[in-house]
Amino acid sequence: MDHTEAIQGSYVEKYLLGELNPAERDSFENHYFDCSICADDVYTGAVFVENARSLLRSEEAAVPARPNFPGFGLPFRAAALASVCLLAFVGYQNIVTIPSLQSGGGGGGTAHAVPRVSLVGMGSRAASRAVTLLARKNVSIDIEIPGGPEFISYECRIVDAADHVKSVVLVSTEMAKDAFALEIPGSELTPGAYRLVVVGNKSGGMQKILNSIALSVK
Amino acid sequence: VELYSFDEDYLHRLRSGDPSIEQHFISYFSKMLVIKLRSRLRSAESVDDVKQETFLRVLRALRSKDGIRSGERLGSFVNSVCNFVLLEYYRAGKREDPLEDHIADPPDRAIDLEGALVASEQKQQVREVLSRLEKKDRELLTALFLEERDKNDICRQFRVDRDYLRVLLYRAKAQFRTQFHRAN
Repeated sequence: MDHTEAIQGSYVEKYLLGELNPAERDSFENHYFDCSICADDVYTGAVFVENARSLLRSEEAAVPARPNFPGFGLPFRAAALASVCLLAFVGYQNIVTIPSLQSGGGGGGTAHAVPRVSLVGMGSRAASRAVTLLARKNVSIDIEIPGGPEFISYECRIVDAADHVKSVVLVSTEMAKDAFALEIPGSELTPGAYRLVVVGNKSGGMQKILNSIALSVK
Repeated sequence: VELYSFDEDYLHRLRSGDPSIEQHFISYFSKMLVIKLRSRLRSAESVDDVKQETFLRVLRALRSKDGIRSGERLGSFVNSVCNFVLLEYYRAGKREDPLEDHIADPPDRAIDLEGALVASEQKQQVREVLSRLEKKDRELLTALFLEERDKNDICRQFRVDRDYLRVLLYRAKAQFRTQFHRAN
């Protein structure tokens, strides 16, 4: 590979993004070890990428994470998680569902229809689907979580445009085995852009973002 | 990267143990080797092991009778020695298996290089570059650098193609370069 080929083929960017196949990667490395211009470009790019990664990671970490309980065994954590789930469910019922049923147009104690959106079967393509909600109306979203055995639970977070977490729903691995309905409290959200962020919780307090779906509250 | 002309004089001074040239040689190729090795090895210790062994062999070869004599090929010589050491390292099964080479777009396994490439001054420069990006582009970089997802998925999510990712990185890198080189 010569310098012109490296430049014309955007090899520096492809290398930094991990897009080269092994033969291309070896060939480009052989070139940039000898070419001070490409070496400088690769080094500058690597410094940019690593610092950007470090910065963005620290910004992500600034979002309050689930507290960890070091020293307590799995049974305790499972029980604690179950308690939190129950608390979240009861709290949600008390704060959102019951008042909504009591004051909703359908009258107290009367069943009423909730708009429903299905993202089931879309996998990561769900992220490209923007869901529109009407302010003051709840909506039920059928979702499935692309989880894995490394996760001990999941969180569905509603975050606003400034990345402030507006609400969090904990989801057990049991529930996440199949598609489930997630009721979004449109009644609690002012008009604007939000995201439904699905996060996987690993043991040891590590978290991983699994999906991010745009929500627009009109 | 401090630019030097890798010529016969450089080789001669390196061979004869000139401290300033040795220091430049180690500093310059350390950066190159770390960038190369971090995508192939799983720990900072392994990267350091292979890097040290590479330097040892290159310097030994330079000082031998039939060692490299062409200064302009010094870089590719270092790279070849590193590839050889890396193969031996895999064969010896020293705590590592080779990362799957048949995967064209391997998952990001970047080793934490805090200290090697990350510094507070550069972080500030990167922060300024990121702050000037459109919100969508910043979110795109976040997805790209932090979420261990397939890049095609990320492209679908943001409705862009792979070329857009490269151009975005190219532009951000170009903005960063101006400040980075001015500061250095």
